[in-house]
Amino acid sequence: MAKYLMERTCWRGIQVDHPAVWEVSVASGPQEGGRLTFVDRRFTRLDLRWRHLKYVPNLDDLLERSGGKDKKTDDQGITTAMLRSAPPDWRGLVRTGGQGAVVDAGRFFKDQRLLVEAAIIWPKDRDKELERHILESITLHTTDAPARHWRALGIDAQVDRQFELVQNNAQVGRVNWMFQGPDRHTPPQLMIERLAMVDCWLKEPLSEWIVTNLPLHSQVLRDEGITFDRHTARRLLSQSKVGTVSALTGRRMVRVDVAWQCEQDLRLYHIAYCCMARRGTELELPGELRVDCCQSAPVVK
Amino acid sequence: MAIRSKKLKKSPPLTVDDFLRSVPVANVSMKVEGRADGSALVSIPMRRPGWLVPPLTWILPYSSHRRVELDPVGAGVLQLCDGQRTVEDIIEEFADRHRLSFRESQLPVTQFIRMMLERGLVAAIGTNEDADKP
Repeated sequence: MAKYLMERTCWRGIQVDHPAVWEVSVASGPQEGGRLTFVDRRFTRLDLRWRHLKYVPNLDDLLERSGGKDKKTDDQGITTAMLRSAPPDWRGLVRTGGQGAVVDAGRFFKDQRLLVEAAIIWPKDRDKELERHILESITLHTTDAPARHWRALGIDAQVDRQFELVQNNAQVGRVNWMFQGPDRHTPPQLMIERLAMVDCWLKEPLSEWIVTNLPLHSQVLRDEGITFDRHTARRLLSQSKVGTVSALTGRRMVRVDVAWQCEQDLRLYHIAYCCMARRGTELELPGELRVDCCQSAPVVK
Repeated sequence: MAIRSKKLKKSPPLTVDDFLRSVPVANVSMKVEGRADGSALVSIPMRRPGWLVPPLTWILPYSSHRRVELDPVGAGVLQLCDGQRTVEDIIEEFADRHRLSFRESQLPVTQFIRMMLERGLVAAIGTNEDADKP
């Protein structure tokens, strides 16, 4: 296999290695079926979809019924054949026409009852070894680990399993993930953000920028400099009133913000965690939370 | 006299590949006033429409130049439109300058170049070798 600089993406419990130049263009939201799409500069290269099934599909039978076992060419000159270079447990078809090829492969993960379908597009020459490596790398995360690994769009984070991703915003130069904790009645409690081109827009000190992101009428309780994962960061503890009843019972929305600018990738990372608590409560970030910036080096194969 | 309608040959839609390979060239007649903070004020001369004559011009104000204000990031992209670099080169350069990935810079740069094309700040020259083929 030619030397490729590979990158790992982990999204909603699934993990895949792909060339670093294939970047995520679609990452499915919380209310959708699992989907990840990767594109290079010109073409879609990998489309990954996954869904839970109540039954166990027989992929060999499906292929046989679709006539994929026999190599055949249609009127448009597209040749369909069985995928023979796939790793064990993967079944699929290769459609070849003109210069390129499309590989459709599927695997059913019995333990998790999850069907994963991958479409790999080769606009020019097909690289069977890379294709095999990508399919082999598609694995599911274990559900017994206390934290779930999220790695996509430049953010590499370990988030406690009790937090579910409820919002994923990927604007130009700004990726923002919102997680909901076990209390489903409150707004999203954990936010992880990564911002680019900091030198163009960050004109004020970091603390002031954090304050501009706080809810209206928030009261800053503490503003301190800390070391967060070997980075010099600002930590702000604040509180805001939420409703009259909560105010009368002495409960506030307490929020802790941590932000730092990574000197290596020149991005601004921002974590915010909030919850209802008695006023003046010392709130800490969830224990299992880990956000890596420059430490998350790409995988080289 | 019968009105003859000119049937223009419809050009095929521009693909991503075509656009990436095209070369944006800055409008030679525009004036760029650079500022200390990196931003720029661009003035492009406009052709006066034939119907815009007195007394209409007494009512409708007419400006001989269109002025576009660019922030430092936009001014940087305009500087890169030197007639040598393709759109792909400009995206790469922009990504290097701001430590972004290609995909992250592709969308803002292409949108900005399209905006500059619409406003007449730049013109794009195609370099698609297949264009002349039958």
